[in-house]
Amino acid sequence: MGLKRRDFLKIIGGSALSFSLYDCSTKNYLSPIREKEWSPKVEEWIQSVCFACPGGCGILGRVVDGKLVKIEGNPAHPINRGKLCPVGQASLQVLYSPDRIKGPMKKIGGKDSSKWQSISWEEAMETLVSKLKELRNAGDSHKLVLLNGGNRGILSEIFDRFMKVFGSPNHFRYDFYNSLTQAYYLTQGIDELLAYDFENSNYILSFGSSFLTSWPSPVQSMRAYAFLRQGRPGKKAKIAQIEPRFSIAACRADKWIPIEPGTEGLLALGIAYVLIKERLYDRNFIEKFTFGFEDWEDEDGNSHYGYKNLVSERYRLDFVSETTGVSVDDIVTLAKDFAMNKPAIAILDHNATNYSNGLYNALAIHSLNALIGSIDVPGGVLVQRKVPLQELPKISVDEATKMNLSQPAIDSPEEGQFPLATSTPSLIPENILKGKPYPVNLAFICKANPLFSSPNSEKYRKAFEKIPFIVSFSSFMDESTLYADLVLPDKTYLEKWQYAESSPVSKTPAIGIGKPIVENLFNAKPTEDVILEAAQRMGSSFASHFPWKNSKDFLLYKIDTLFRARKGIIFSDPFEETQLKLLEERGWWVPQFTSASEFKAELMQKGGWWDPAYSFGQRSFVFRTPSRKFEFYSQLFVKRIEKIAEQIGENREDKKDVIFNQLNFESRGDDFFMAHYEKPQFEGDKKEFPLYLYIYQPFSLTNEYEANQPWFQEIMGFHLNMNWDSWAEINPHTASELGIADNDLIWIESVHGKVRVKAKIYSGAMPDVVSVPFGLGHRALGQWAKNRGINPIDLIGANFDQLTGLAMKLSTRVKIYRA
Amino acid sequence: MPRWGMVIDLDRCTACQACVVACKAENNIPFSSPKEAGRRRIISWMRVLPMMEGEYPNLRERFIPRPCMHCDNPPCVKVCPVGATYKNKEGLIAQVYTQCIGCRYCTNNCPYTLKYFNWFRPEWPEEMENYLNPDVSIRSKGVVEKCTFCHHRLQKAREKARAENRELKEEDYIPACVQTCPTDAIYFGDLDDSKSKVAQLARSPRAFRLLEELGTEPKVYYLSEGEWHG
Amino acid sequence: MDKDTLDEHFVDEVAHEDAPILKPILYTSKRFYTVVFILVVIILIGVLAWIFQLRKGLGITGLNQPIFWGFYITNFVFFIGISHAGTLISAILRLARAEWRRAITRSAEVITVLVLFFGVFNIITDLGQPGRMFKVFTDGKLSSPLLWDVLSISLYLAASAIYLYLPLIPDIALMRDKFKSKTKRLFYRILALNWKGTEKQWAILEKAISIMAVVVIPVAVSVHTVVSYVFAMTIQPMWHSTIFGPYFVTGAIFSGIAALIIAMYFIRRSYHLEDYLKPIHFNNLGLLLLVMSLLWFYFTFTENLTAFYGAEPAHLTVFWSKFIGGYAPYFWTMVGSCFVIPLVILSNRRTRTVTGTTIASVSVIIGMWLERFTIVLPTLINPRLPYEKGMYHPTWIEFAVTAGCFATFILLYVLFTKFFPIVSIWEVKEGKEIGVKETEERIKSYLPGKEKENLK
Ligand SMILES: Nc1nc2c(c(=O)[nH]1)N[C@H]1C(S)=C(S)[C@@H](COP(=O)(O)OP(=O)(O)OC[C@H]3O[C@@H](n4cnc5c(=O)[nH]c(N)nc54)[C@H](O)[C@@H]3O)O[C@H]1N2
Ligand SMILES: Nc1nc2c(c(=O)[nH]1)N[C@H]1C(S)=C(S)[C@@H](COP(=O)(O)OP(=O)(O)OC[C@H]3O[C@@H](n4cnc5c(=O)[nH]c(N)nc54)[C@H](O)[C@@H]3O)O[C@H]1N2
Ligand code: SF4
Ligand code: SF4
Ligand code: SF4
Ligand code: SF4
Ligand code: SF4
Ligand SMILES: [Mo]
Repeated sequence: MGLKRRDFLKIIGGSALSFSLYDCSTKNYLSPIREKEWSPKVEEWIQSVCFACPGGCGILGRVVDGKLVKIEGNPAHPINRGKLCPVGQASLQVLYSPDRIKGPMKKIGGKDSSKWQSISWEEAMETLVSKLKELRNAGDSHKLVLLNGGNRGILSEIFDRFMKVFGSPNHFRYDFYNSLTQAYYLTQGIDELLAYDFENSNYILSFGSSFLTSWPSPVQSMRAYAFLRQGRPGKKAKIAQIEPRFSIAACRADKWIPIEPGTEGLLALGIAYVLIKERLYDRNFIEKFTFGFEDWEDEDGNSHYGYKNLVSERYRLDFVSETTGVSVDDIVTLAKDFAMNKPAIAILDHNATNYSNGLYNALAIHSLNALIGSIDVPGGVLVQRKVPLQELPKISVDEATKMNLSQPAIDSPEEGQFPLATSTPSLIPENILKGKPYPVNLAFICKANPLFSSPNSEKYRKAFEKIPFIVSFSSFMDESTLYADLVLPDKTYLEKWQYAESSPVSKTPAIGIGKPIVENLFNAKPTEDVILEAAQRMGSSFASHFPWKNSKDFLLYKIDTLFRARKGIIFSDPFEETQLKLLEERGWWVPQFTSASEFKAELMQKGGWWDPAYSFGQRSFVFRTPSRKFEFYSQLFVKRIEKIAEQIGENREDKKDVIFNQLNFESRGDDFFMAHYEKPQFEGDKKEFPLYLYIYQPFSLTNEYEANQPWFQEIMGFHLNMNWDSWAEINPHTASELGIADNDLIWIESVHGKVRVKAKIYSGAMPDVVSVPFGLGHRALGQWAKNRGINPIDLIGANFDQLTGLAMKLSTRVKIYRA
Repeated sequence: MPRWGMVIDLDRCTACQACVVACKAENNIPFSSPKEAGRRRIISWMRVLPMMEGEYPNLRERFIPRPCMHCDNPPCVKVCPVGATYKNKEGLIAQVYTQCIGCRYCTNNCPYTLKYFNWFRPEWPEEMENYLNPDVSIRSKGVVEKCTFCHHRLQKAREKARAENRELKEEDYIPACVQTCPTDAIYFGDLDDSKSKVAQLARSPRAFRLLEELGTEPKVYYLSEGEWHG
Repeated sequence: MDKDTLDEHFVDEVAHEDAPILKPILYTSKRFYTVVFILVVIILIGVLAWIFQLRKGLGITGLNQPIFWGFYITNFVFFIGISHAGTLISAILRLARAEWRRAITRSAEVITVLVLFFGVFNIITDLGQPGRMFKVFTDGKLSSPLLWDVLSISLYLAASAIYLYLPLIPDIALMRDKFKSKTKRLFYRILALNWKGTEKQWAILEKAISIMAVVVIPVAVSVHTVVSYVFAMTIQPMWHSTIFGPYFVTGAIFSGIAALIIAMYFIRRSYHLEDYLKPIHFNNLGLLLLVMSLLWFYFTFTENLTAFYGAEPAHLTVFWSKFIGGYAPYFWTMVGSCFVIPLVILSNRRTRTVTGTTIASVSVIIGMWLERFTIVLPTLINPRLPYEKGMYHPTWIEFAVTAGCFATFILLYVLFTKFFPIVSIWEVKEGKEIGVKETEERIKSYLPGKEKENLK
């Protein structure tokens, strides 16, 4: 008793002595980090670019004693003006992730083994080059496949050149905006995303576009949003968001219009109907700059249907309203607001196009911009002028290489399948398994992780097992890299020389120069440099195509032309900028520098170049169609179909029919080449699977690394108090009908499989839609991502857009029930 | 003495949470594990609170980013038995980690639930220790912490101004969340300087403060159009 | 008790008449060792849990954001409440000259002194940085109600310790004089402070005791008032309440009486002190308990009715979570065991027996712990801003530490009875010798009739 009591007295008396036994001495309270006693000596700010998304924001890295401790936006960069999105902020957790691959490795013990052996870079390069030479010497250079997730910047260019010089047509990039760009191509002849002049717009009619979250350039579009909502005194733009889920964009819009999935295009046609009936369209623009609005006659004297009649005959509002679930009143209001608040724009991204009718949805929505004349005008849809970078020298390869280059690519569809496809990477695994058109001997994976992100990942896995040798250039041991035989760890973008052009959605071209902020972290090498070195080792004729010592050298080569471009300016202070912009827009351009070297030095120091001036009215630049107009009726489309028909070898008369018959579309006539409504196809019987599965990307999961960043695991489901796990958003009524309560575990089942996930009751879900976030459910990648949450891609099949051959993620029906 | 305060424009904010991440990065905030997060022990000095009103399909949602309100009449300070949290000369509510005994009285008396406790000793994988900010101390287990308005940035700004032999200017001192916010939704400055942007905005008809009726006199103002049902 | 065995211990026979009281000090049964063993095991588990918690941090408890307080603070309030058993009750009875008090005051006072340690211990256990608790003394800020607690509890502890000790002195001296064993005599000599039993010493002692009795009452009242202020001074819904002071004091006395009855019950049974702790004691205390139960209900009713009627959203959320929400089971159990059960048992003379009052007391003890629990938790679970709702699932750590506290308390109590007479020998004797006469006179003094007549 005495002892015990004395103890208590001591505690009360405040003696810490009795605690020293445990963890209470002051020493232990200090974390090891603090014990080291930082005395920051060298602090510097290193300017670079963020490469975590296509936005290409300028960044400044705060480096203390060689360690990157904070990333801030570069105020001089015109895209982000010193601002960063969470992804850019969190890059620290990518750079210093303990899960990074620390050095080159080769697999030992065969394909199925999971044993790795560390090797030297010399051995790694030796292996890489010998595999390449082996293939080339056997005359099989086309049997090299490169799956490259990045489609811009130095790496992409070097890879592209490498594949060409090597002699392989199999360089695949992922372009999920393809249905969109196809729509722009068919109507305006432009093969990339268009830019939106948000800042000057008064009304934004958004068809499911997540312009505040996962857009190509989120900081830029968020800044634009803030500007047009609370930044222009007295001129607040209106926003209507049409989509099946109450997303961030819908929350921040004036009006949210829930719509039945896949009917976005029909709503656009309904709006067009009102515009036409009420004569609210821009007659002047239509007359001067469009083709196919009124009925017309071709050279052969055949008469054709015009867009105007097509719409006014077919898309009466009662039909539109019934199918889309949007009330007639709402349709009329949307149409009137759209036409009366000019400049207005109708925007979309691949969410509205992720269906079997995706391309037609895109055509219908984009046609609205033409109807009110919002193309190539301030506040409308624009086309970015590109940064005038130096072209790479011409390639001259031998005949054998040329032969191999012209082999069909490994993703080739059946003849006539997917008439509008430029590339159908979704077919790759199937073709590899079939050995069609030829077997693959060597595969490179870089910035791609199809074993996680592809709907047919199981097929991919089998295909990977079949490929004799796989090289992965990856910083992380992701699902796909697990199947590699050789791993050459890449540096992250914070450790590389690079340049980042502004994404095409930005009206102004800009290029930011990236320097390595941190060096000597892990035994990794920039893949750019690895490829350049491999090229050197491939022999002199090969090497002569790669006259650059390293990626920095390459970068300097690329920007060499900027000085002579006679436009644009180096990043500078806003005042100077405004002056120069005004001058340039009036046709004056003042050179700021006298010598190229001076220019380059300043460019490297200020961090980039851009051209703030936009010149309107260059018709042939904006409309690159045969008619040099916006084409409601796409002649490029007709040409494409004719070309395929010729290849198939049918005679001219019934050529179209043959192709039409392969497609599961209703239209057969002129409407096939115009915006119109096709019923979206969903997998799964409506009776058995009554709900639509709706997969979306929360901002905190858009980037492949984010699932492995604890910061994002903590914030991704903030709107529902969810973290570190997946969830499914269910409408309260639907939930109560099915006896599902908040936080219950439920099964989501489709014809392809089922996943178990936590139910969250969310008023922002449509009654017949279940929304699930994308990005979790990894089986590898890192300690925080692995076995966490579910991958909704397990629920969807490899469903293709019938025209473009793109895999779709929003075309599955599901049922849900309590687990 | 300036009276530092913040104005957050909810009509600009897009709930991107860049401010949240920036704060975590700037202030050496340890991250949670799934288990700890499940027990609601995530530390996040800045948090975005979703406030949804209405019923499907007529919904209205506001996102409210919340740092410490740095109340002029702070209930948390009054109850601290050892003065580990106090109001300093510039009105910032300071938190002295080495003084805190971890009684969590202040956490319970913050009506905004914006104080956080270190349930365990914060730890980072060795590689991640590299990114820790040398200007900000690492808290030990068992102490309370919260948004400091990036006080270390004020100290640095002041040192810099002194080194350059000039007065501290308002724009010298920018907290991390303010600096990164893509929509410029957060304004920061001297509420007592009637010419400053924050002072002007705080007087705007759109301005309100959270739980104003409690008399805590928060120095964080919000701007929002329409009616406010806080 | 035969004479020879007693003589082994005592120098003469004087002690014989007090033999039943002294017996526990002299003999130790096997059962006693079993009880001690069980208690020690529980304590060891508790200590282990506590060490665990000290090393790892409070994270291994079920506390979280925003449930920053849980079991420990509940225990703290509860134990401090129990502490009102002794000193306050005994002091009131003493000042009121309730003669029946004589046999029970000591057992009550011991509860107070011991239980205060556990109140304090629970606060320390709840600290994130227990090693820094001395800062409360070196850097204390008087603006914090927690500091008021520190001050008033320290004062109360000191006062009750003295108040326990003073009446003990003559009994200690008795044992010093009577024991044969040298070591024991030394032990008691030191504690007896040279008590000779002279007239002067008696006078001083009596005086000191009555002064302490007066002092200790306001201190005790202040202690629990201040404990309530820890909550009431915040601006949290349903904590910020004006009646918390008296409400807490009532609850404290309520639970204190219950604790005393339970202690008496076990002392009576284990040490066969039926002659000292008689049914009348239980009856009287039972009646007191009944009164407190009614008072408690009155306060509980008022407190909740105002919250309900005011209908402030933040208060209402807390209110509903107690009435029909997640805390309803606890709340209604509390109402049942603090009000319904005692009311039924104690309002009927036939059930107000020794066993009856004890059962009622156990019920009250459980209920009062739940009362503290339903004051601390529902408010924290429902902070003012929505979407922040919390939950609390205590882990084995909190259970083990709590059980350890109770076990240590019981052990210490039991050990006390092994060293000191749990019934005040001299006071009882004094009661027999002068109390009867005095009381008779006192009663006469307020019987109707002329003053002189009564005195005759
Ligand atoms: N579960 C799930 N599936 C999806 C999606 C989703 O969000 N979730 N999104 C769909 C969409 S929209 C797309 S575009 C595709 C994308 O599919 P993929 O192009 O396969 O992209 P990710 O799955 O993100 O995998 C990219 C991999 O590249 C690596 N990587 C990232 N940056 C670099 C770098 O700088 N250098 C190198 N060498 N490697 C790098 C990472 O380790 C990562 O594992 O996935 C589709 N499928
Ligand atoms: N930071 C960063 N940004 C990125 C990327 C990155 O890696 N990092 N990746 C880029 C890439 S590859 C992609 S693919 C994009 C993905 O970005 P998004 O194209 O924005 O893809 P999600 O976020 O999945 O889009 C989901 C949106 O579509 C809406 N939606 C869902 N179902 C339907 C429907 O049936 N109909 C309609 N109309 N709308 C629907 C939802 O409401 C939601 O707002 O992000 C790009 N942006
Ligand atoms: S928008 Fe893209 S480029 Fe800009 S900071 Fe965010 S992730 Fe980086
Ligand atoms: S960074 Fe700005 S826009 Fe993003 S959540 Fe924070 S306050 Fe809102
Ligand atoms: S918001 Fe909370 S923590 Fe901050 S000053 Fe006010 S009461 Fe204190
Ligand atoms: S937890 Fe720390 S800061 Fe808060 S009241 Fe207790 S000692 Fe003060
Ligand atoms: S002011 Fe600084 S500490 Fe406070 S929320 Fe912003 S970044 Fe965090
Ligand atoms: Mo994508």
